[in-house]
Amino acid sequence: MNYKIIRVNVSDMTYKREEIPEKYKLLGGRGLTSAIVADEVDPKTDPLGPANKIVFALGILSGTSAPSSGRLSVGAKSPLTRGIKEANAGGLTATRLAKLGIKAVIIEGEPKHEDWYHIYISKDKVEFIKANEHANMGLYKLIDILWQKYPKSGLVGAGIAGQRLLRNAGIFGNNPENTDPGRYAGRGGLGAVLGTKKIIAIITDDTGGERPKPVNEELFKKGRDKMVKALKEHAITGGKAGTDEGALKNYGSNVLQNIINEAGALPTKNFRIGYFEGAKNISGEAVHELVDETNEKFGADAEGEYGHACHPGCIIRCSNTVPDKNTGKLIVSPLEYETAWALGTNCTIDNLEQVAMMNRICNDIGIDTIDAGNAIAVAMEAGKIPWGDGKAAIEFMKKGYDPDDVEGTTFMHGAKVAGDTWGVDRVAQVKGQAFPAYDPRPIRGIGVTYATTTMGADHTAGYTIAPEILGSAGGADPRELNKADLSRAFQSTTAYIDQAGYCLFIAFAILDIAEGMEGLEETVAGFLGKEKYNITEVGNKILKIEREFNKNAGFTKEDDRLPKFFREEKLPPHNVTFDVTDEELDAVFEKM
Amino acid sequence: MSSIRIHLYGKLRELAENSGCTDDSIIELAWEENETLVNLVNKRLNLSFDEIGEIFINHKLVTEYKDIIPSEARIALFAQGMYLLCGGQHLKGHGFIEKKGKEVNYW
Repeated sequence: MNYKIIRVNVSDMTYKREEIPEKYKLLGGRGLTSAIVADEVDPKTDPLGPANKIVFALGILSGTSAPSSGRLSVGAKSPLTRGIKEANAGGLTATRLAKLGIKAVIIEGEPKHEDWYHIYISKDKVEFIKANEHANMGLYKLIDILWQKYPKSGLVGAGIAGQRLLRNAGIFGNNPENTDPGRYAGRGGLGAVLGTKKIIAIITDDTGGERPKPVNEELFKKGRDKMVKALKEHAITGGKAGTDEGALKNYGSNVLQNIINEAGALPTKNFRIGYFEGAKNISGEAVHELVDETNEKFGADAEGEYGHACHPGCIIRCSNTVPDKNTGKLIVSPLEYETAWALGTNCTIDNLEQVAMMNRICNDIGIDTIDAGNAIAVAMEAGKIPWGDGKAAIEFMKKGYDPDDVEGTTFMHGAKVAGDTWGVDRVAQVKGQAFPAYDPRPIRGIGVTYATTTMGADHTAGYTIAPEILGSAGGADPRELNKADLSRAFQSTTAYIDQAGYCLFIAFAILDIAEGMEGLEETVAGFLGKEKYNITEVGNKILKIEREFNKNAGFTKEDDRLPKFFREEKLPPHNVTFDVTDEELDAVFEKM
Repeated sequence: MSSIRIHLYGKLRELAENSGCTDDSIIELAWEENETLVNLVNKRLNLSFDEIGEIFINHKLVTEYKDIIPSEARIALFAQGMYLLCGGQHLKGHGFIEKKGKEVNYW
């Protein structure tokens, strides 16, 4: 397929349709966003200044019939970490752009006006639509209004937080039914970068477009069939919603709430304990039960769901819709593990309805839930909200709607800024980005990833949970401190999966089932028309580009460290600290 | 008398009386000296390991079912399909999925 790049310059409100340079032709997703950012953005530039650029890019396979491959990557220099950033999400936009033959959208320049705009992309044109009436509008309302005018369109953009240039602003995306703006490329403050360009939403209408065609159709189909088979065969990604089989389809990623809790690695009360008594109340099983109850009670009016697809063509279907128990209507979609942990467990809030409402507020104002939950925990440390008080937390979060409210604004900058502002030292963050839902003391390999990834603390950058969680036999022993090789291998594979546009959860199928790995290799090689595509080589290349950018931005080894309290405080119930040496952390990239 | 407490998750909650997702679903049994997990699961709970996903004893992941259960143990049993979410399950030796052909080496 002869893809193009759309380059939008907001300085003069023009756009160009460019050929893809030869060196980018085999790239996609994170590989492409990071390459463009590294090539075109000065690493030392102000992330909220005119020289930063924001890039939206399809995965290599996005929009094809490869299963679970419709991810959209977003990249820029991050206002949160001040390093290179990529975040990706499902939703509709990737598949829509693919059908229009658009591989990437680059937005650059400095607006010379005070107006807000949407960018409308269709088969024949790119338009700038003045949208001042949509500024500072909640995103549930905004996506509803936009779909009335542009039905079935893919929507991504910056919400209230992004428009106010706050550092925890995510890039929202509408879900396939347009009932929720919760398909977030959430991390790293990328919404604020879009805000600097005075753009609220990118609207993609694929009418008249066609699905991208593989160069080697036979090889692609062979690989696709293998991948489908492996995903269906695997105990985690397979099964069927509403049956006893298929953890992700029935409980979503939040199946982990109880599992990590039993592992003693569930960070509770701002990383003080590894176990939360109330975890079961906000777990994937609790959501499953609530959905079943409300579906039975409200019948056709019920909106609760599990086994929901986050983008067209996903067969893993780990998303869900949390219903109101009194009406059966949607509160939020989805409620994922990291979110339920951040807004619930980490703040010792175990009321499912309250956690879902907190998630909804994040989605509505346009912020990342992980950093938001950590920021709420910081507010609790500062005595602004009582621990475990969901009602008070909701009222506190609502302050974010008021641009003149200092506490609300501080909260929307994320946990690091909140800690600095409110005098709280206990902030679980690396490079300014708050920790996800795994304590690095009992799961040390994930700590190595948090410390060393270019992205700031990010579990998806190298997801080393299963092979090293505390175990009695088999697998990597988590007390074995040599984690550099493990973390590097996972970071590299992850970078490759991100580049392909596949959901990270295909990892089960490709690492556990030989045919799954072949499916990955063959779908990518078949689509690109290449015989061989070395996964580790490509993954390492992406990591090197990102690492070099951060080095030139001024990052040193000292930035690859966890906060001191993880080394000093023992975490119950295992009573261990994070004692991976600095030399081991440094070895992750030194040996690559 | 020593006992063991078995926390049940997913479909396995049905083994505990009157349990729900937001209730504790716990079975308390007498501790038996030198009892292995195999005996507990197969004989006393009358379950097959095919019906079980992740298992933890005292917050440690179990991969060796012949381990002896300590007195006053907290055991967590997750239903089939409920595993830690990431690739590499075979590294734990679960053997819950048929592997064909090559093994993938992380390193």
